Amino acid sequence: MTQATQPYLQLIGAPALIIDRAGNILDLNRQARTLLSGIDIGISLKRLSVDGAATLSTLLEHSEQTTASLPFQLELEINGKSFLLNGTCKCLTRDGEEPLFGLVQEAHSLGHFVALNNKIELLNSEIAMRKDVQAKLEQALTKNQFLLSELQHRVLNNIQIQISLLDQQALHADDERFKELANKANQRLCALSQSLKVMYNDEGLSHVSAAQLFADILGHLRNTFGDKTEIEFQASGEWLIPNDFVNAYALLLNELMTNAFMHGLQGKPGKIVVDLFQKDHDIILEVSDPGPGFGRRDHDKGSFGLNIIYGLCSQVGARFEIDYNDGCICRLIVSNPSKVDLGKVGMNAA
Amino acid sequence: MRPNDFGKSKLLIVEDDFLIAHTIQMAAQKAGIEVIGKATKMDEALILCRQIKPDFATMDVKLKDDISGFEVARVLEEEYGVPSFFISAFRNELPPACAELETCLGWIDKPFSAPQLKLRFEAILTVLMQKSA
Repeated sequence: MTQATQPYLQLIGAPALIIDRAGNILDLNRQARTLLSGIDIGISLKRLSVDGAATLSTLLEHSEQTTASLPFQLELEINGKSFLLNGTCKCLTRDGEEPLFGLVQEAHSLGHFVALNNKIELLNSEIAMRKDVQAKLEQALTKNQFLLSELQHRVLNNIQIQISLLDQQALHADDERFKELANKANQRLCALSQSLKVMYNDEGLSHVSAAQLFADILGHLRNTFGDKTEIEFQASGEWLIPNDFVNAYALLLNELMTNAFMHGLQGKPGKIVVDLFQKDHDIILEVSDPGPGFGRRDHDKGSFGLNIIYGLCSQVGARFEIDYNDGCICRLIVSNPSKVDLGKVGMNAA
Repeated sequence: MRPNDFGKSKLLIVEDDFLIAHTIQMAAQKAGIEVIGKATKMDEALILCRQIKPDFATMDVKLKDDISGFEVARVLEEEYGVPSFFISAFRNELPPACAELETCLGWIDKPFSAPQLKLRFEAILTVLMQKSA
């Protein structure tokens, strides 16, 4: 068969095949081998047809009844790849002979097919490249997340070491005033570390929730002050502190709480109330205790704690007030916070 | 041994940083607890436990030998019945792991000061006393 048909097939510039009535390939030219890689003599086109041979059977039946070339479109699947044959089919034998059929891919659809095939290959290689890039990015992200977590651990560990050093220095000191100062310094470091933790944990990169920050600092202070001191915290709504000011507010709350604990409760059991709310256009943070308050005693005036409060208030643009009315109320007032700082919810007006 | 049955409660410190371990020791001593030893990794902790069984252990979550403090705590609990009190920089890594232990005594966040830890130790002693009563 191939000896008889090869010259004919070689003359055709396009991919061409000769098949029998059962759809078995009897011969094919070089172009067909290139186009339909994986097929060869003896393979059944019907078995490769995506529609289960119905189209090919009908085509061969019609072709047998005419001398004309019939157009066809045949979708094949060869080794997992899809091919679309689009051309003409002609019955090559007559009168009593076993019929043979020539299938020729049309040149214009061949060009279209090749272009499509090239495009698919291009897309496949681009997909492979992008997958590779994505895998590398994911690796880099995992590595960076690990490094960031390591860095955060080390920062907190370093603060812990500073606190440990001060603790040990205080332990070996005879001077009670030095011990008190070391404890205060440690408490300030703890407040700063809480602000770092809130910044690390917060998903937003520019602001942290004031309620969250203050709740964390107060949680830490509960451990410091012990069970005899009750700390009540109320926050209504949302106030977002810009990252630049988080440390300052952490230290401010720490100073107000230390003052309330030392001068308000004076070592006795009692309650400190912390309230965060909005009044008119101001955000107000109030710390109330039942004691005389600081600033009243001579040695409090010009104390380091008060200096810190006034200095940090000036830094963040807040005002500081003290009211003495059946106890002491220390108040930080932030006037006209920006819409960004009030977040989506904002504070509920008192 | 029950705490205070034959004297002070006994503590094993599992911490790979010398200064932090020293602060824990200081806080423990201030709370009237006897420190039986300081381990920096799992095998040291097990050796110390075999020598003198502690009433509880303080456990750093992130140890240098790449074995997590949770794993050490699990072994101490299963093999010696020793409960752990965790020390970690990040609170969010603690609750799920602690929930898997039967005898977790809680945790404290880093950084902490010796007076803060002393208060926690006093609370732990109360819990241990109640359990052994």
